Parts: sequence; C-alpha cells; structure tokens
Amino acid sequence: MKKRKHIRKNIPHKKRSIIHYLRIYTIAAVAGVVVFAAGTIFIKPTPCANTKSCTADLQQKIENNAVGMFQGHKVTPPKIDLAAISSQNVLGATTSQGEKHIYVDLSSQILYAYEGSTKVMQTYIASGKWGKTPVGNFHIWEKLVATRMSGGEGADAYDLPNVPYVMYFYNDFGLHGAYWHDNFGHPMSHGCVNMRQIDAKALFNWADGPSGNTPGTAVSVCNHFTAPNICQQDNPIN
Amino acid sequence: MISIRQQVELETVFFITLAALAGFYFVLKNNQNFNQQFRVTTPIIANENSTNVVSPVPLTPKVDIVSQLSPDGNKKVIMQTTTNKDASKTYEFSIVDMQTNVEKTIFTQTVDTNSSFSIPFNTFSPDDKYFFIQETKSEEQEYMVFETSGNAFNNGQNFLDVTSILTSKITAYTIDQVTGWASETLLIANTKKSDGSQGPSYWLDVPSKAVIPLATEF
Repeated sequence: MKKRKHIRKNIPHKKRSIIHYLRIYTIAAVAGVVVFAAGTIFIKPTPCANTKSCTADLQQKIENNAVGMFQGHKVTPPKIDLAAISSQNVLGATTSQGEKHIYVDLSSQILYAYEGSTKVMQTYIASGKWGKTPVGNFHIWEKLVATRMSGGEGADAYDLPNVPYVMYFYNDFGLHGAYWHDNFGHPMSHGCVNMRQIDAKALFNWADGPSGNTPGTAVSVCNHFTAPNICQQDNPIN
Repeated sequence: MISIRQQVELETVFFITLAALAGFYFVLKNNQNFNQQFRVTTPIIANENSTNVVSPVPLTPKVDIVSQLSPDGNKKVIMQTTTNKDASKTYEFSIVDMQTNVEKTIFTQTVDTNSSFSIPFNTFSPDDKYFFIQETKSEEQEYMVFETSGNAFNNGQNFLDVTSILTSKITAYTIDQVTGWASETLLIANTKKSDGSQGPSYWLDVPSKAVIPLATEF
C-alpha cells in the first residue's frame, strides 16, 4: 500500500502594507455611507410627535401633583378628576344625526366637527410647528382622559403631565387639550392638534373611540377644508 | 171694541219691538265696521321741499355685550359697549369668576368714533392670571395687558401698554399683531418689515417687561 504523502505547502506569510489597510478602511467607509444613504431613501421613519413616549407610553396617566415644562418654563397642569368627567355627549346631542367626522384645516388652523352635514363645532386649534401634523384620513384609535407627553430637544424640549382629553388618530399624533399655551389659530405644537381645554373636553365627550370592529370617529387633516368631503390634501400620509 | 183695541196695542208693541231690535242690529253692525269708515286717506307725498325727520334720541343708550371664556373655562372677560349721544363709545371690561359667578370691573374707557376695542380669541394667559385686549385706532392695532384680579402693575397703572413697550425696544420692524400667549407670562408679538413682509417674532415677558427676540416666526 502506497503511503500517501502529505505535502505541506509553505505559503510565505505576506506582509500587509499600510496601503492595504487604507484600502480596506476606505471600502468599508464607502459601503457604510451607501447603506446609510439607501436606508434614508427607502426606509421611512415612523413619524412621532412625542419622541420620548411615542413607542412606550401611550396610556392613561393622571399625575395631579406633577409639574410640567414647556419652552424652558415650568407649567402647572390642571387637576384631572376622573369622577367628574362627563360621558354625556354635549355637541349636537339632540339635533344631529349622521356619521361623525372631524376635519382639521391646517391653512386656517380651524377644526370642524360634523354629524352628517350638520356642523356641531368650529374652533381654532394649534397644529404642528416644530413637527408636522400628518395630512391624511384617519380614525380615532384611542381616547385617554389624560396622559403624559414628552419630547423635543434643547430649548424645544417639553415634558407635560396631565395632557387632557387626548384622542390619538395616527400613531401618537392626537387631538388634545393644551394648558401650557394660549395661541390657538397659529401653529404651536410638535405635530399634535392642540385645542383649548374646554373645546377638547366637548369634542372628547362627543367623539367615539373604536368599539369592536367599528373604528373611532373619522379625522381628516386637510391643507384646505371647504366643506364635508371637500378636503384638499397635499402629499397625504395614507 | 176691547178685542180690536187689544189687537192694535199688540201690533204697536210688536212693531216697536221689531224696530228696536233692527236698530240694535244696525248699531252692532255699524260698530263692527268702525275701522272701515274712514275710506278717504291723505297720502303723504314726498317732494323736494320735504324736510328730514330727525329721529328722537333713544331714552336708553344702545349697549352691546361680547365675552370670551378662558381656555380652561374658569374665567370670562366681558366687554360692554355703550354708544353715547355724541356717537362716542364707552367700553367697560369686567372679569367673571365662573366658579363663584363674581364679576369685577377692570377697565373703563370712552373713545371717539375712530377707535374701537375688541377681545382677542387668545386673550387669557394659560393660568388665567392675565388677559390682553386690542384697540384699533385708524387701522393701527394697540394692545394692553391686565391682571384678571384687577391689581395694578408695579408702574402704578392697572394695565401694561404692550405696544409702547414693544415699539420702544423693537426699532427695525413694526408691530403687526399680538397673537396670544406662549406660556403663562410670555405674549407673542409678530412684526413686519418695511416692505410689508413678515418680520421676526418676539416674546414680551409681562412681569419683567423684557422683550425676547425669537429665532422662529410665529
């Protein structure tokens, strides 16, 4: 039997130069930039009004003794008394019938609430200034009597407990009362639709959240609103 | 003879009664048509020589009332406008506490026909401590801030002349509009450039009267 000879080749250890490493680093850097650029083009981030609470904290939270912060100033949130929250419809309760629909006109900063063709509410709002309010057609997917909202960075950072009468319609973008400013009719939010507390309460008691297979009250955010179902939307999100 | 006489008397009584009833009927009928008796009317014909009829001055002056609730619904500002005999108007502003229903007059002023006051939508500060009103003077807007308690500011007056404070510290632009409150003490003022385009926005801190320029336009 023939013995197999194991021939071991002696490969000479090649000495790598600095140029070799530079070339590898350059290729790696270029690859990283290409992946980043492609990602920003093809993978759209999920818009989020409250960057700190968008994914984690969309639940009812009553903090009656907390202190809020907005635009670098301390603000005192309103006391929320769950027992005093009325579930009674206050808008169009006796006169109107038909599908409920909320329209937000970004150009005029006015919110309209309709039951069928009957307008039951019209008031000034404050939409996104530091973050855009998403344009499109949505439904209220969650109603919370109050919750904490936080986000922004640097001078625009905010941390607001007891934000009252929250109605989320797209991710963490919602209609809600705002107690920290009074500048309605002008953009003043990080993407949500701010309302006076008295208006938010009336709308909250009127609008419906989802129930079983029935979606919540429809919300259309328009660039220009003319009449029910005449809602101009430029680059809607859906 | 007796029967003939009785018959005559009965006929007399009958005819007299009939005549009385007929007369009574015509009286009633006549009274019903009382309003239709005057068929001839004197028409009022306008001619060149006619003089204008001066309306009498109403005994009670015309009073208009408008109000604005605070965003939390706890306070209400009421503006009562009284039109005087000389066409000037007297404005009275008062604050109502919606919990106690107690009303307190804060400010009263009479202005001529070139001026008028109004309550902006965002009149109340978020904590209801202050409110501001707008005066329009020949299409120029001026603004005043008050404490809802009616207390005077540290200058001794019961209001801050916002327009004077802003114009004394902002010289490159003209004040366009005071829109509302950025926080409990910060009034937002928008300006415009000399060509009419939008200028930068400012905050007026009411307690300190400091004017803060902003990087963003409101």
